[in-house]
Amino acid sequence: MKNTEEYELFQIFPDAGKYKTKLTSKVRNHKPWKRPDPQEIFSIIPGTVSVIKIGVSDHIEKGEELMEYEAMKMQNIIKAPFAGTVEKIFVKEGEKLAKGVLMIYLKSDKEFVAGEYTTSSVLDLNG
Amino acid sequence: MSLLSRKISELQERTAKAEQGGGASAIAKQIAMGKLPARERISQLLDEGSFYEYDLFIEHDAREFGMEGKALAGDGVVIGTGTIKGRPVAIYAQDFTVAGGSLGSMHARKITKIMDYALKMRIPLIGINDSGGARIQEGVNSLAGYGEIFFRNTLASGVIPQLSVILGPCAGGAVYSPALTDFVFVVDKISKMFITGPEVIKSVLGEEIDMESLGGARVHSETTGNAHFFANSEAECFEQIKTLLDYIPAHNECKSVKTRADEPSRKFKIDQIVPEDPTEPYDVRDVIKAVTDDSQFFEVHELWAANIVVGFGRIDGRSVGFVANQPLVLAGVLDCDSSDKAARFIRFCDAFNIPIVTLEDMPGYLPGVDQEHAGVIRHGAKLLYAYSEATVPKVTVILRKAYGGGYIAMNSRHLRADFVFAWPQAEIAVMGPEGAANIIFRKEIVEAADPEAMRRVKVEEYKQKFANPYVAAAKGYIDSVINPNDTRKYLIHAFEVSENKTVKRPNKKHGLPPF
Repeated sequence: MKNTEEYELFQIFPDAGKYKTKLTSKVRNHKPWKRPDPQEIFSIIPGTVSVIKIGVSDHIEKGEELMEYEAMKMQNIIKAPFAGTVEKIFVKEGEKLAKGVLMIYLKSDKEFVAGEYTTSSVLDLNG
Repeated sequence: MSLLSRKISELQERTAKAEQGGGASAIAKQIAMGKLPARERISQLLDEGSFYEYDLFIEHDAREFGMEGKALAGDGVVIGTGTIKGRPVAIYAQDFTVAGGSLGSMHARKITKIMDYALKMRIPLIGINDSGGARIQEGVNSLAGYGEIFFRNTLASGVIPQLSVILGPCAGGAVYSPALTDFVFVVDKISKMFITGPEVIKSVLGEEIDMESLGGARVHSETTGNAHFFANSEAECFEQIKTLLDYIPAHNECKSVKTRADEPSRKFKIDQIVPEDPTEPYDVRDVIKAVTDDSQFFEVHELWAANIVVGFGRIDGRSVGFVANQPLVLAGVLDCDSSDKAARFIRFCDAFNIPIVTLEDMPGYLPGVDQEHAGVIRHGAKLLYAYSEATVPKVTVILRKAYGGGYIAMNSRHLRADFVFAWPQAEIAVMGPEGAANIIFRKEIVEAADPEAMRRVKVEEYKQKFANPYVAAAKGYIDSVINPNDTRKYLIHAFEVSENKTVKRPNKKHGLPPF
């Protein structure tokens, strides 16, 4: 029997052995998950920075408006997900952004409790 | 003392002992973790004194790995029937104080028994999950138990409402039962759901994550969409369950019940909610509350895919389901998650004879490589499928934007909406004016002396001609262009005349929605 295939070793569970198998590109290219820093505020949709409403060193309360962001023919309002101080602003008014661009670094007033900020809650509807 | 009195005393002693579960110290530990004991949960959720317990004296029959001689009260789960606001329900609650609520074959036998009752009696099933998982000592018998539960979840799906309440760990294979049910309730810091836990993930992949961030209540409410309702306490969770049961029937062949109808609150002035500037957002839930009885709206999946809103309300005493684009979040675009969320809700309403109101204001589907690679094609198609498949009365109101494929997907006439109404400011077109003008008038723009000025003129021309409801109305795609202030009246009438709606569809075992 011809056996020219090269298998890779795949460890699934800690106590079991390694399996000889083929991997998918998704698994092969997998990067270990790193906990996101909720203080990094990213763009969540491609669009344009319309109006930046805050400046470096400003202290912001939770729910205060950080910027107006034009996307999908709409003016979206980005609000602060927690109270903190604006440490750095990485974008300019009129700048076109892709999704996932770092826009603002907002230093939180308080330490984060594990599990409290699992996603960027910039669009807190009831805040 | 007569013989009977002695026997009754004995019964009361046995009952009291069994009802202690794992004993006083185990109960104290449960409370110290911020969790209520199983019977306490049932007693808070159900009407006072309405709970009848079955199989209290069940005993396991495992003999290996130290199980022989080990007494486990009720084998770690409480089952029974009772009422919630007078409505009969079947319920089980895993007892974490008994062997960590682990599932062995008799434990599973009790759960499948109450599931069989619920299906037979056509009453809602509520499962309170709080368990360490499979009882390893019982080996494959535990797996068999889970399998029997999952099959019954599927069998009962669409016949009786099934609610899963995650009041503790629900991990490994066990978590598939809630996933197969209709609504999942989670409580902050108490619910934990995952297939593989943090220790294994750390050991194999080197990824460090705590239990709460991996599969806590918030994660499942905001990120995965596995949880439909998020509560800050068990008490709040029980109130949510009671409220949900107000809106949904006991089973799929129930005649719908009309309750008393109150007018919406005057503070919601429907013609002032949607801003004049089409790029300005607003909270579509205000529009919902402007048309529902007493302005009550019970939102489902509030924290996930918030760019679409789904939930229950009453119109003229009838329970209806709402699906509404939310311009406040991501401009109300359609994408993978919002399509999933809406499709699932639509199918629940259709299965249980709940009419659907669709409020439309969306600019289109979200562009992006990550959306495309995440399968927005496949997920978006689910929404089209769900609306087309649904035979309950369906009414659509186009509030503002209805562009492109999204116009079709949001319960258009073509997907067999029964009535489609549009507000006068509606923009129903194949594309936004800027994009469309660039394509249709490309020649004029390119050949113009001042292309930018020509482009602006052509965009305005397109806007005037097409970004309105009258082109669609001229074709009968819209039934009526209505004054926003008349919206509730139109909805009440639409549901009044469609009470006996009957449609025949081609015979088939079942269709193939793009799973």
